[in-house]
Order: sequence, then structure tokens, then C-alpha cells
Amino acid sequence: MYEYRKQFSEWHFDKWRSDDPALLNENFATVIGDWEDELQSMKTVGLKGKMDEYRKKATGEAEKWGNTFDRYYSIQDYDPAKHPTLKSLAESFGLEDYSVKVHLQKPGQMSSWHLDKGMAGGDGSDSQAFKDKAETLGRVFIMLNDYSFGQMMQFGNRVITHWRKGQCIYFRWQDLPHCTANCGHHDRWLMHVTGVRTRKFDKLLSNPNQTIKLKEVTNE
Amino acid sequence: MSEVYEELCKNSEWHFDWFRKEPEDPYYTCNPVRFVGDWDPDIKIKDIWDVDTSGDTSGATKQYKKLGVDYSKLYDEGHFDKKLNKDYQPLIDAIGLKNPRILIHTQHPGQMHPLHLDKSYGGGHWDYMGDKKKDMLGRMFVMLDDWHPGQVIMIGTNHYTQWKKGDGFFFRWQDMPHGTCNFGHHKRPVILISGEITPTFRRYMEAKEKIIVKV
Repeated sequence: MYEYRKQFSEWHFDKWRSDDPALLNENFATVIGDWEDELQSMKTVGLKGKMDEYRKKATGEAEKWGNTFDRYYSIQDYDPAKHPTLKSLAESFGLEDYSVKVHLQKPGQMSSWHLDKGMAGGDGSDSQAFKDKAETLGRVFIMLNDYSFGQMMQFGNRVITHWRKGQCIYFRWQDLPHCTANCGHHDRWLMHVTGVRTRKFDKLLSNPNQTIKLKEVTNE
Repeated sequence: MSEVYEELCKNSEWHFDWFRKEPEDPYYTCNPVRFVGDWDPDIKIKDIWDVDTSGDTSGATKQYKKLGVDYSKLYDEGHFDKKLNKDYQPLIDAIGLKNPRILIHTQHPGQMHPLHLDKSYGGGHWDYMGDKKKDMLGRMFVMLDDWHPGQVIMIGTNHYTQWKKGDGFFFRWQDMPHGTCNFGHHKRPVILISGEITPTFRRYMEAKEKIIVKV
């Protein structure tokens, strides 16, 4: 599965080489807001969506890497009606037709080194169609609580740690393999938003490091 | 996390400020030395421990269970065997730790050793040093293979990656919390050697530039 998905990636797959900064911006934006109560009200649910052929293969591959899908993280029952602050957060990047996932990664959980299928879909028979679709989609990770020791994420050749609550990470999900782990003692909360890029999103991308007070963007 | 960890933190001299940035960390030296040799990275372990026999681990087992980690599956672990591992003996000799205790750790994909502080000082192995033991002992990790993505070693606020085969690093294991994780696709073998510091080892600890040692 990983080998199959690699053919759609533009990354160099050279573990000693520095990465092009355009592939990853760990300070894409900072969002200020208070969503703690909403996080605490959430419950863990299983993987959403049907177990299609792709997922079956991905599950098998997780086992090959000594892991299981349910050990990657715990997906939370995000509901825009019940979690308006997080909904507002998701909307603040200007992504359209977006999907939201809230991940709680507990100590002991890890997602193995992988490439995303994202929302680009397809059966893999047309790599150009996948790339074209993927190019229209943006993905942002929003860290929902401060880093604590033992938590880490790797994107391409960079390991990211020491994030702050509200820190937003942009990466070219279609190109960069990535993985996350929580070897620490505290829960790690993350929300990811994937949707169709708009002019607003591209403006943020070309002018990063902005502080977003929910529903309102101000230059630092 | 746990009573044992909190207790060990009290005995540590480290600052426990996870966001502090220091140009030179006095407790950690990354890559002071690279041992160059043609050993097989796929090191064999004569007796992989079913249980850690170095001391009472029941407390640790309980703590790790709370963290969702099976204490018996942190990595494959066993003692260095002079006969089976004879090809690695020149490497051991070059490290320069006297009366050593040598362990082999092979961490497989999907395994992790969560943040912890080490409790034991060799289960009596170095008690002849008396009260000075803490400062007379050194520990080095020698990476037996090149780094692969998804392999990370945490030492204090440092995250060590992209090592090359033969790279050795030193840290004040008595004081610094540490942990390891393999969320990649390849095995990560290391030799972990602890022992009495000699002038050879001290030279690595104090190196300003990386020392290359052919073994």
C-alpha cells in the first residue's frame, strides 16, 4: 500500500536530504480560542466510513509495521452542532466542502509512517487524475493542546515537537509521508481539516504566521 | 504519570522545563563519535529476555500498562554474548568503559519505550564505587545501523534522528528522562553500554568535533 501510494508522491524519498520548505509549514497560522470544554465533552468513536478495499489493505499494512489501526489514535465524535467553537475553527481557513476529524492520541498510541489517500479518492488506475484532484485540496493540522514530552510527529525528514495550543501545521499531504507517536504521559489532541482550496486559503498559505482569532484574521 | 517516575524526578538534577532551549545541553552530547566498521547491522541476541531480570520491574510494568504499553514489548533485549557477538568486540573495546554492562536492544516497528527515568544502577554491578558511582559511570548508545524514518530517540528536550551506522551518543542517563519510538518500517538495533569512565571515554564526552574511530 505504501509502495503503491508512493507513485503519486512528488517527495524525493531520500532520508538524508533537506526538504523543500514549501512542503511543510509548521507555523502556517496560530488560532486563538477556547475549545477545552468541547474536547472534554467528546466521546471516542471507531473509524468512520465503510471498510473499503483501500482500508482493508491499509489495515493489513499497519499490522505489517507492528501496529493496528485502532492503535493509531482515537477518533472523536465531532459534531458541528455540539461543538461550535471547533466548527468556527474549521471554517477559519477558507476551505470549502471540508471534512473535519478530531484525533485524541493517547500515550502508547502511534500512527506508522504512511502516505494519505486524503479525499482525492480514485481507484489508483489514473495517477494524474489523483494528482490533479489532490492539488485542489488543502489540509491543515491544528494542535488543540500544548505539546508535552514524548509526543512527536514526523513529516518527510523533519520531526516536529514543542507545539503550542492553536498552532496550525500545513503540509502537502499528497507528497509527504508522515507519522505520529505519543510516547509521553499526556493526551495529545489534534484536529485536521481537509477541503477544497479557495482564494482565502491560498492567501493564508502565501502569507503565513498569522494569528487567527476565530472568525477574524489579524496580521501579527 | 506515576509515583515511581515522580520520585525519580526528585532525584534528578535536570531542569524539567520542556520548552527551554539551550545552545549546548550539559547533559547530552549528540554524535561525539562515529565508530567505523563492517559489522552486520542485524545483530543477533543469544537470549532475548522474556522478562527483565535486572531488578524488580513490577512497578514499571504497572506504570507502562497505564500508558497502554506492554513492558515486555519495548524492544528485543538481551545481554551481549562474547562468543555469538564476537564481531562487535572491537567496537566494545573502542568505547572505553571499564567493567561494562552491555545490552543489545532491537526495537521493531510498532514498539515504543515511553518517557522514563532509569532507576537501577546495574543491580549491584558497580556497588564497589560507593557514593561516587553516579559520577563515575558513563553510558553510550551506539547505533548499529543507519537511521530510517519513524525512528526517534528522545533525551530531555532533544529528539535524536538521522544517525549513521556507528554513531555514538552520550547523555546523563541518571538525570535525563528519555524514551524511544519506532513508528517506521525498519528494525532499529543499538548497543547500550554502561561502565566506569576511562580517559578514552572522557575524550568522547569532551570532544568539540566529531571523532572518527576505525574499529
